[in-house]
Amino acid sequence: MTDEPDAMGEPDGKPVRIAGFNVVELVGGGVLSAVGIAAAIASANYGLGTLRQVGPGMFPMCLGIVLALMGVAVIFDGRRSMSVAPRAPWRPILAICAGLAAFGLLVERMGAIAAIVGLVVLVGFAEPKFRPKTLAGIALAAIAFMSVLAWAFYGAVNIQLLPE
Amino acid sequence: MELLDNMALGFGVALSWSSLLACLIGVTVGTFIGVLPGIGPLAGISLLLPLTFTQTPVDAIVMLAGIYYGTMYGSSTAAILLNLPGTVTSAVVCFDGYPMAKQGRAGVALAMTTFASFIGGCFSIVLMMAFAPPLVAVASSFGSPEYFSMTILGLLAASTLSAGSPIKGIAMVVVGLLVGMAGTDVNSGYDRFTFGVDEFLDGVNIVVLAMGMFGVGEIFWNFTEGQKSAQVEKVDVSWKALMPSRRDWKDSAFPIGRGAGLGAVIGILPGAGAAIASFIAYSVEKRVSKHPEKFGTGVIEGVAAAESANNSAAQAAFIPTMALGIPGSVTMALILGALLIHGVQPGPLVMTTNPELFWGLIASFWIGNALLLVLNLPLIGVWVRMLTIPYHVLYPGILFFICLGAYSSQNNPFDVFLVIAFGVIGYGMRVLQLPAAPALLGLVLGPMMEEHFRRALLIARGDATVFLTQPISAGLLLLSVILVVSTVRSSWKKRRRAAEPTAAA
Amino acid sequence: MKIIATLAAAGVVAGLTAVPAAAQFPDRPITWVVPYTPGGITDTGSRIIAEVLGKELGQTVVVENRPGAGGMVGTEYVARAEPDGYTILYGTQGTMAANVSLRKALKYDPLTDFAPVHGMGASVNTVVTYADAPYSTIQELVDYGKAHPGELNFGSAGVGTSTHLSMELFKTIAGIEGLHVPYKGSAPAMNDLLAGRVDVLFDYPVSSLGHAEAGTLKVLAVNSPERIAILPDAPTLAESGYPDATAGSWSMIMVPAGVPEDRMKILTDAAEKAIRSDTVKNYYEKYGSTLLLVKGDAATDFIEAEIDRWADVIATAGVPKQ
Repeated sequence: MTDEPDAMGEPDGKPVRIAGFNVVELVGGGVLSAVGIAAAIASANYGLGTLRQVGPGMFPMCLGIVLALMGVAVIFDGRRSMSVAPRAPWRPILAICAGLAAFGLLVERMGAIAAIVGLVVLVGFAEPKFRPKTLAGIALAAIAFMSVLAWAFYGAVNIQLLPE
Repeated sequence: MELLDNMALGFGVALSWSSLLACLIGVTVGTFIGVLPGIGPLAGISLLLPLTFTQTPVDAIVMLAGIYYGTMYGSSTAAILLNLPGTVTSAVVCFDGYPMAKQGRAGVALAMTTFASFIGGCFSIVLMMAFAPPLVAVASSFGSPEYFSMTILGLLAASTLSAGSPIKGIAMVVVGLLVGMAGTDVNSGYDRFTFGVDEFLDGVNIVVLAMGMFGVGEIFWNFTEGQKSAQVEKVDVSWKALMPSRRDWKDSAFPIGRGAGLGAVIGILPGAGAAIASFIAYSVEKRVSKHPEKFGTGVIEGVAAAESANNSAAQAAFIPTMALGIPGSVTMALILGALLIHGVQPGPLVMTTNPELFWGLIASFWIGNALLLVLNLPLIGVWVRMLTIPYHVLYPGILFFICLGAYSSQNNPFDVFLVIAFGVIGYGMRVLQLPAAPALLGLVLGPMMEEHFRRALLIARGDATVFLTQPISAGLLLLSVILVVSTVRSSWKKRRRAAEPTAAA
Repeated sequence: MKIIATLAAAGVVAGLTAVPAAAQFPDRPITWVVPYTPGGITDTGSRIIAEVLGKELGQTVVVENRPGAGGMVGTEYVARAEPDGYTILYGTQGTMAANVSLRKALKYDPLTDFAPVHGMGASVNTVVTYADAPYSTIQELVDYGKAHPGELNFGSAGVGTSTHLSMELFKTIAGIEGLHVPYKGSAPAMNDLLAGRVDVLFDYPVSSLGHAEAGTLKVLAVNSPERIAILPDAPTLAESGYPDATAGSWSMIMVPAGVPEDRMKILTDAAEKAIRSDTVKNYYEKYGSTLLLVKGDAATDFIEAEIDRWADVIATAGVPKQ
């Protein structure tokens, strides 16, 4: 049961290396290179054009290749890097993502009030201790704010508070 | 003495009771809208537009313009306190403003942005009053080759934006440029990197990206072990603690001046805008600074220069809009539309056919900026007190504002999901120590750079020397070369100096 | 629990009895989806019409901007909306006609997913050139273009916009070659035209007018069937010898298909009164547009004809289908 971040840094803050390469820089450079290669491949379909009529694929193609090379440079440049990845806070990240997603899903289907309640309740799980009273207060304040905004800016901020 | 006559005419118009009231309403609404992340000047202006139908043309435009630059003042507040940029321009203020808040200097940062905004805005106004006609000529002399060369200069300056490794900085600029390619290509109408999603056809919404990467990413980071947010136990809201010290002023004086100058020049160009101005002003400060390594850790110069440039550019943007009838941004287009509704035809004749409108508006800028100063300074104490709210109460509230801003900017829930994606990506980048700031500038400049490169070649029928035969373009490229050479030389010197003691030992 | 059950039952009963009471349509605000960003001619126009329309209907008409993808995002949203008459759409020549031929994967069908309520405005394009251009009429432009094939630059507000398509239509009919230089909107195109970096621009009357008055550009023609009030000296393309090049864009109030007959009638009548009101008429005149007075079957026929017409132009001009 080793989480990825654990594999990247020892608890005492010493960087982890594979074959002399710092893992943080290795992953970072690798991601950059992968994005670059993907972009270059995708833009091959767009048409490179000519100097007279430069096609839509020319720029992304060049940028993709440059990025792929830069990724390799990052890996080598970071050989002596002392970077250590922190332990990712999975519970807060998941809770917050879920809360935001709940808002996005609910705001048009069930109205803003339901969306706010969904958001606040779910992001509340980011804290080790769930605080129902605090969260209820925040939700009420947010609903009140939203109502005032929807009323005062009627026509510019079109937010349905309740489902139709 | 034409200038004095014009000023007298302008103030005569702008100091009428109805204009003063219009200006006050405009800047107050603007500040409020600006503080809310994601709700930009567009929403505010389109909301108040129907109200202006019954006003005189001067009052209408004074009020709408007030909203526009009032938003510019307000938008740095959330950026400094919460790392939550509501506009692209305020993303630059995040770089050093938020670290200042973490050090307990939020009040100073907010006060300095207010003063810098005021000075930058005023500088631009003076420039406009004195040199409006020649400035207009400069604006129209910028064609595609010139814009392309300018973006090259901007991108080179950007490679120094981040604190860490320069290679990573450049790599992230390229990432930003690539992200900027997404959407419908202006030159051919082709869709690129849209993955069949209609929402991507207009490209990536920069405000949504910034709110995700900076705002949500920061919350994830604060939950990461051993990190601390800007939250404090107690704040000193005494006037002395909130106001910049003599030293702060000394550090900021030149950056504000340079920022104002740069902002005015860039703001005049119809295609550039305030975001590019503040990015470039920040890069310039970092370059001329004696301690560039401290940028990004909370130096006041970064905040002052960016904010002064931003407001200077925002005011200067009225020149092409009013005098050429060419709006540089959607907001400006909306203000033009308001003029048209009132039967004022913007164009080269506006200064002669409607002098009271043109000079009245410019005079109102001054009044508006003064009002904003009076309005914003007392608010600082209120904003800073927000930081005493415990983090477990604050973060759900921040997330609520992020949702509100992301959703209401285009009335599309898709943007809320985009914020999640960018939040996760932003956090991942932070873990991998890939800086976000250069990517943001790449994203701002990328589409511009490509569009103008290709259009320049199209009009020149494929002749690539066009970038060198046009004098302004050639000059900008020459500056770029000087920039590269000086960077390489100074880093070479540094390396040699670093090598010397070892050699002696 | 009992209270909730009672409330729920009451809600159901209220919902049932509400159906026959639909004669009082509309009994709540109507949402008008404008699939463009706030600002610009479209949005401003919709806000002015919304106010008049609201008065006619006795309910507020709220303009809701749902921009994205040249209007497709908002249009798709309305295609999926409940056809109860409370959601209406700002339809345009782009979203309702040209996109059928420009977009491979259009997620709506203008004819089956929507029903037209009433036309709004028909806007024209001006054909303009810079002040020192060596031609001052359409005929001189065509002669010049034929004598210098491939040398002229034609600017437009973007690939697939009405300015681009009208320009391609004109080039085909006049038989001249010229390079299409697309811009991101008409403002930057105007900047390059004034400096002579592009030679000819298909523009909107509002943005041409100020420069025409100042003499910084020449208006060669307008592409409307008749001359327009704000530019009375500009001849039409028909007068200049190219009647088939007459074109332009238009806008229409649409609803999702399936709105009940009686509600449709209420909407159409109110819209007709609103469009014919002085406020709206004056507004469109100021922008150099004319009123598009079509409704019912005539409106459907109009859209059908437009779809066919732009399909031809797009095919001839070789605009890539996305």
